[in-house]
Amino acid sequence: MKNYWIFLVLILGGCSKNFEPPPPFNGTDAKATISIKEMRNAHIPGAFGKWAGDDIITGIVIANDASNNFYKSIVIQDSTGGITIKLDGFSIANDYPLNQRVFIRLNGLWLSEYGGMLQLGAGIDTSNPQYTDLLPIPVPLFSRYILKGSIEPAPTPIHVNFDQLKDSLQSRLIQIDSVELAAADTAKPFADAINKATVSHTIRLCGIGTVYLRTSGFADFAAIKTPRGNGSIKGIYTVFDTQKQIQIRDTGDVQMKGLRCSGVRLIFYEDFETIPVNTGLQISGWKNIAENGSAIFEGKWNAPNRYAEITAFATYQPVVNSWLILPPINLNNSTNEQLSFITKDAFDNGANLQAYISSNYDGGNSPSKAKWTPLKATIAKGSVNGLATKWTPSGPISLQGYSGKVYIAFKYEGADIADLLLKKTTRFQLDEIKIVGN
Amino acid sequence: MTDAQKKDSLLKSMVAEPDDIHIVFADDGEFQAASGFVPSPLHASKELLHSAIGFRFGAGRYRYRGLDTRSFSFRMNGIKMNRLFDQQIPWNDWGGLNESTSNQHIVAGVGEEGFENIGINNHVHTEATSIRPQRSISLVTGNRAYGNRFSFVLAKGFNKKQWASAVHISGRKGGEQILDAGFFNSISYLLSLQKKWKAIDMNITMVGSVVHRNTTPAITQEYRLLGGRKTNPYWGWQQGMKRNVGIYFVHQPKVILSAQFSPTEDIHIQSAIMYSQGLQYTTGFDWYRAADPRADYYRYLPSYQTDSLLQQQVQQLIVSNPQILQIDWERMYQMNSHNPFTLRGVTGNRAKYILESRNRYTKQCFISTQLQQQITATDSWKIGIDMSREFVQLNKRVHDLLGADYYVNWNQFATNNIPDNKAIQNDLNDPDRILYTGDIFGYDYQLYLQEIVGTASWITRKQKLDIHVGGTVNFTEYRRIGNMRNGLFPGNSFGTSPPISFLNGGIKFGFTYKRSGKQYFLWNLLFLSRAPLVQHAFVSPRVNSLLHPALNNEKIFQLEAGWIHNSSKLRLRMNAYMFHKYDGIDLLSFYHDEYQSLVSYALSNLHQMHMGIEASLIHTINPSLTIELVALVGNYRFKTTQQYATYIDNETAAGDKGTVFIKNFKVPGTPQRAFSMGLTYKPGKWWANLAVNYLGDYWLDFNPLRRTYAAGQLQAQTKTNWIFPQEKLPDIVYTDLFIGTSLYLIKKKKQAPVLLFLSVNNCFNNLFYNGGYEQMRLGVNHVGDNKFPTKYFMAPGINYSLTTRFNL
Repeated sequence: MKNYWIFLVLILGGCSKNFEPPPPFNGTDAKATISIKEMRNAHIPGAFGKWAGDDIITGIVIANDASNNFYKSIVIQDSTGGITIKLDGFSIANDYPLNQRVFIRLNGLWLSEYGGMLQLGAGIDTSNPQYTDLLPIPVPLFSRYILKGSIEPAPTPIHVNFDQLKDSLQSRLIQIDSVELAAADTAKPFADAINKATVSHTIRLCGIGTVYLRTSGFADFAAIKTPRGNGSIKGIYTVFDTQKQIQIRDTGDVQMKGLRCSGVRLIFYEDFETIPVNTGLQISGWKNIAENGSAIFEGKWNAPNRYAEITAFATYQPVVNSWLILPPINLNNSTNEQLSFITKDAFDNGANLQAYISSNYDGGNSPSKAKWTPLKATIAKGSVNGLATKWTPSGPISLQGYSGKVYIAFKYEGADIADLLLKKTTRFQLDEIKIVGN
Repeated sequence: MTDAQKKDSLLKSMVAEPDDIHIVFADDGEFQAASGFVPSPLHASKELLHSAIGFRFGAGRYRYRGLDTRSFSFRMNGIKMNRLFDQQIPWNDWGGLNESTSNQHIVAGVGEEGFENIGINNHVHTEATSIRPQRSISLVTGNRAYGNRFSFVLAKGFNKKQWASAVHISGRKGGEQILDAGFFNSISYLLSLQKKWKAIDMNITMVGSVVHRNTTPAITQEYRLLGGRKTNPYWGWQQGMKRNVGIYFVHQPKVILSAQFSPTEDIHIQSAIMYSQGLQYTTGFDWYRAADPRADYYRYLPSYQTDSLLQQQVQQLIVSNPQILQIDWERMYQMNSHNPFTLRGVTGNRAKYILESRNRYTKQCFISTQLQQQITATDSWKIGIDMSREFVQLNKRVHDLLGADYYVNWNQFATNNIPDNKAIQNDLNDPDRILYTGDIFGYDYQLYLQEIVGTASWITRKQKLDIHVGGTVNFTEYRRIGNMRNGLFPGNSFGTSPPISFLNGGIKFGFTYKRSGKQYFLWNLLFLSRAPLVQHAFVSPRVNSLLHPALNNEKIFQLEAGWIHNSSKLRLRMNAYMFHKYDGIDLLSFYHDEYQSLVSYALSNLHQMHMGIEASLIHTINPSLTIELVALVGNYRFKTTQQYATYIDNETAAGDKGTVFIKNFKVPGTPQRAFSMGLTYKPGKWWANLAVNYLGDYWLDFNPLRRTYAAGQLQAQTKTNWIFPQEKLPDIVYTDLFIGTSLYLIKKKKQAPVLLFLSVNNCFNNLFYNGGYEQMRLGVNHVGDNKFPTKYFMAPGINYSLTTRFNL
């Protein structure tokens, strides 16, 4: 039955035209005549200025309405500055995706500020004399004023501090590091998705300075909760009168998983200072398991410091797998948890020490039955001829994304065989295991 | 037959071609009154009134007495052709077969015999011997939508073994004559085989027509003024070719097996069974998180600009680059090829825009039997039964991915960012389905429809009086079967709905007083009830099986009286009628771009009153010159306010409800007034007819939401005056000319007649709209005008067709 219809459609298709898909679009060969900075500088603050002269600026699209946080506008920047262009359409991100190079023919367009923010539009609305407004470019005129180039690599944001925020950064992609949302603004929706209302959250650098994270209630991500941690934010720098704002393109622009400046709590700490030395580690709640071979973690002392140590050396066993597992840690009463520890290696010939985390380990003697996820830690290595002189810090390891009871483990993998190429007996020392959180 | 008679009959058969003709001539023969018995009036098909409605007023979309389209019927070889789905006559299914479907007669109204539909009833006979014996080739050229036609007919009467056969093949082709980027391709066929065996006369006919053409746009005045008379927003350039987004395809072949049986001289039985299956689709855009691709979208036109300078700029740009008014295919291809996305392990460019086909697959099995018996010399009766079953499947398919790799079965308008949002799924039974060309998506449901109609009538023809009485019973049943579980309506979208059924009936009574063979008086009365159409019964059949809130049968009452006067010089006919329809319901479904959804307005409590006078006059001035006058004056109104309830396909919450204040509004969609004056000149070798036609009092289909309390408040607030009043189309005037003649080609001493027939419509190239509708949105723009102005259908300018027929 179905085939019959396809057959008929084909017969008729024979007498209807076949349409060739158009070739890929290669972009215009237009050239910019002035920079965005030059254009901005030509504007008289407070005035409505119609551009006269066949000038062209070019820039890369750094924001659009793809997630509906930017409404009827795109933001472009070149190496000298950025500008917001008002466009009277919906889903314009399809026409002007991120990283699209565009060329703007300025002749006939208008420049004016909105709350101190310089914008480019197609006309002015004087119907209300109290409040003159810039009109967006109508859809049918897009192609008259905006030419498209090719898609280019994403531009790197400008890294700035609070005190560097100034008007010349308007409509540019900036990044501010080591900041966090004010405590009252954490874990709150980015904006009011129900009433479609814009919300501004306060961003601070350890209690100093303020910039507002401004999000539209129409943004697709409005209902998503803001992060609790400390980290970096990138977005478009905007102003409203004296208020300095940053507007993100998507939640990926906010990377705040780190430890907040204040309210740091110690969740777990072990410095091995009270353990007996030169014997297998035995701490209440810990597991010290030689899964293959006979090597176990031992307590050691190198005045005045005590620490844990393991090596496959002198076990004469081809497979050495050993685990040191911390007591279960409850992550339910804290946020932004970070693990850190320090290691030293000696006579490194390729054995491996790796930190893992598991949510389903049962606390028994067969840890390999559980699912362990490796943690990204820096571990000492390369001390071929003797003991490393300095401890290697692991770096902060975020435990975000884990909750409830988790286990942290250190797994040693080595081999003690005659073949020097396959012999792996590196000695590792481990100390200062610490978990902190807010 | 003499040559002259032959010529005449050939000419007549040519004249009776729906796309060529305008008029069927009144019979020239005079009745001889004998023994005091006055024969009954001429058959309706010979009525100037009805031929004028069919052919002269067709260009202005005149509908007989303002009746809705379901009131008109078409029977082929005795079987009803109207679809159960919408009760429409599928004219396309035998389009182009003019020569073989010209044997028709017309009954206006329920008629004396049987119990027909209340509008115009066409009866066409395509049994092999009903087609005039011929071997002919016709070539038609012209500048109409399907300007060129080729047709070959071979029909032979019964042979010695009482077999007869007929073949008709026809092809039609058209281009941009009427509309920019228009196209029309069609192949039609008809095969008939007939066998007479004792008292039984059997026939099998297979008929079908494949049509592949553009869809016809309705456009706003602004768009037309920008683009011109042939402007069409449905096309755009693609690699140097004009590509049309609106494709209409239909092929619904039918096989009709019919038999006539007369066991005695007084009894006549006619039976027929039809099986048909086929597909109809139209194409259009679907899009996911992208701008509206329609070229005539109101935001893309100059009037949307509130600033006069910007308005000017847009206007100037359109004047210098008219392609801005057309579809930008290349932009869509560009977007579709730059949207990489991974879903269910499939990585590729997900389509922003696609072409979809909205399909309707139909299977029909219709059975009909009529028995007629002459009981006495004066009395006869007739009973009939029609049993019809129809299965309709409606769905959407991906027609063209426009350069993308796939599309997803998501409902973009149910999107919001709640995680694990199921509302976005068009089909929860197969969520996130990846779609490729040809795949079903969006909605998919079936309708099982059944109708059983019984009729009975009795007629007695006395010396001076004919009396007829009749009745009908109608059982109708509808059932919906959803093939998808819609994410917004998981509870009532999938599976079989309980059947809904309706029982209806009607009675008629009438008489004809035959004062003499020249004068007749007619009087007819009718009561009838009708089931709602399945199209109106389910409010959102695409996504659920919700029923119309006021699902009831409509009731009809009609009274008519007529007077006929015939003399050798003058034929005069006058009718007066009054028609009431109570308890009607309606359902208006359309795309609402504010809700971004298909929306239905369920209307109830429709009470219509139609009354009017019809008059026609044929005056024979001399044997070669006739003058014809037709006047149809009606007054069709709504007599009460109506109730409305809104249903939104993309929202589960109940919509608006309220009253539509349209008491005394005119019934829209047809001119209520029509006049025609024609002259026919037949000097002998050729003939010509010139007719001037006028149509007026033509009211537009209106938006009920513009006549609510809220709309009245808006009108007061905005100090406008156009929201509430009803809009009337400007009056329509056009002139048609028809000329026919025959020539003879000498071929081996035999004369081979060649017939030439020229028809010119709208001779003076008048510019007029022949239809239109108010948009279903309401908005007042910055200057107080309608933000969503009325859309119109443009009538063609001067157009002609020249038919040449070779009888081989």
